[in-house]
Amino acid sequence: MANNVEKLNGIAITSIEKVNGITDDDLEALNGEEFTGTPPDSLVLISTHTASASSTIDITSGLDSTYDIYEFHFINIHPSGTGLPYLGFQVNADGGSGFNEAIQSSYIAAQHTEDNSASGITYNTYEDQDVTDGEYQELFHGMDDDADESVNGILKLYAPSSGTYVKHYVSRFNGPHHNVSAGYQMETFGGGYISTSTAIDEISFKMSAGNIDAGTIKMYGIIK
Amino acid sequence: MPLTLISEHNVTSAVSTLDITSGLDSTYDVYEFHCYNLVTGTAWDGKFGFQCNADGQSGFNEVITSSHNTVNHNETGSSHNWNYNNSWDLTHATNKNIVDQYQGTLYQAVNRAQFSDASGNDGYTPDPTDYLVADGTSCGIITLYNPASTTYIKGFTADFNTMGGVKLSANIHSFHTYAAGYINTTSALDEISFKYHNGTWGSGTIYMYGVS
Repeated sequence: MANNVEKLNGIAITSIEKVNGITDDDLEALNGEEFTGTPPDSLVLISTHTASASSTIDITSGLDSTYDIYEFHFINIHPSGTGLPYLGFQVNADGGSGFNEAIQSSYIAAQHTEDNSASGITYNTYEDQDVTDGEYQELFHGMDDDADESVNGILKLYAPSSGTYVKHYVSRFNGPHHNVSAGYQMETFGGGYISTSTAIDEISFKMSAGNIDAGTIKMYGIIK
Repeated sequence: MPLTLISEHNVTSAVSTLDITSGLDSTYDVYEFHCYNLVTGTAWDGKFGFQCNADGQSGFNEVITSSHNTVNHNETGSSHNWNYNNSWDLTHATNKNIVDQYQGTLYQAVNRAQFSDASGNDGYTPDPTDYLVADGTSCGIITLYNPASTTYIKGFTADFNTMGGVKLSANIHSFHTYAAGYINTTSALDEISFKYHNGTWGSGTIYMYGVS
């Protein structure tokens, strides 16, 4: 790969080993102009967080103005304990304390029982929030700790570093769902906004009861 | 699913449309348009939407058939709805079919308006008493499939969330919108345009990506 850049911000390019964690050998483009070769993948892995009977998974770095859109990929999230908990997220504003921001949200779920006795899609009023609630926002509700069950999905967070606007999110999850009478396959669709114009720099995930027994959360940024 | 950034388009002062006239070709089978912090340019507006132009043609006026639904929750907690949207605008001649189109040629709506009347109708007659949501925006992604095909129609999906107000009140809503459909032409598409249906587009950014 040709490299036509001699200096970057006054630093000799030969002295730069990494840019945003990408090594010089793998850095193929900068602002789409400086390098030749195949453009890089714009979905950049920032960090990986593996649960191990974790009461919460708090990500306290990497959420900043580097990217305008962040994605959190959830792989095989498995809860511990019973009580049909939900997996949720909350955020903390820059300079604030506690994961307790005001969230305005909506939540719908499509369900289908394993015995084909019921199916449908509904708006779930118990899973959404008003701005006065300040609770962890549900991403997937009614989980169980059966050994072979896990939930997967993606949460997208827009422009968390804005100092002017609210911060929108959308989520889509799929997995086994339980209530007191039956087991279901369920897909959930969430959307809403964190109702603050202060930048968001931390995010937290947890189960409403028990803990996150196993699973992985990968945090990505999308190159702008 | 590698994403490749093709171009960035910023709106920093009010415009009527933003047209992307290069980069949409056969290089990628799937294109994504990441739209963030879209803000209307006027105190009243319609929905944000897109249209395409076929290779060798003129005008953003391709035939579209689509569906559009919104999950709606207001901040006072008194309203929770999920609706297929096809009737809001039927009384507004200029906006008819802007939500879901049947072989229509209007800009395809991908969100809910940041302002609407007391009944939830978007794109209504302007009213100076509209409630203004100062920090409200709309964010989302439009995915366009195989625009270079000369055999098939072109499918699209959109997933947006919007903070919006309702006329004459501080009744602010979160609107989560899913739109999908197809551009009913077998000609290749090489240009795409975005705009607010009424008024102007004040600010926001669109990143265009190719998916390989």
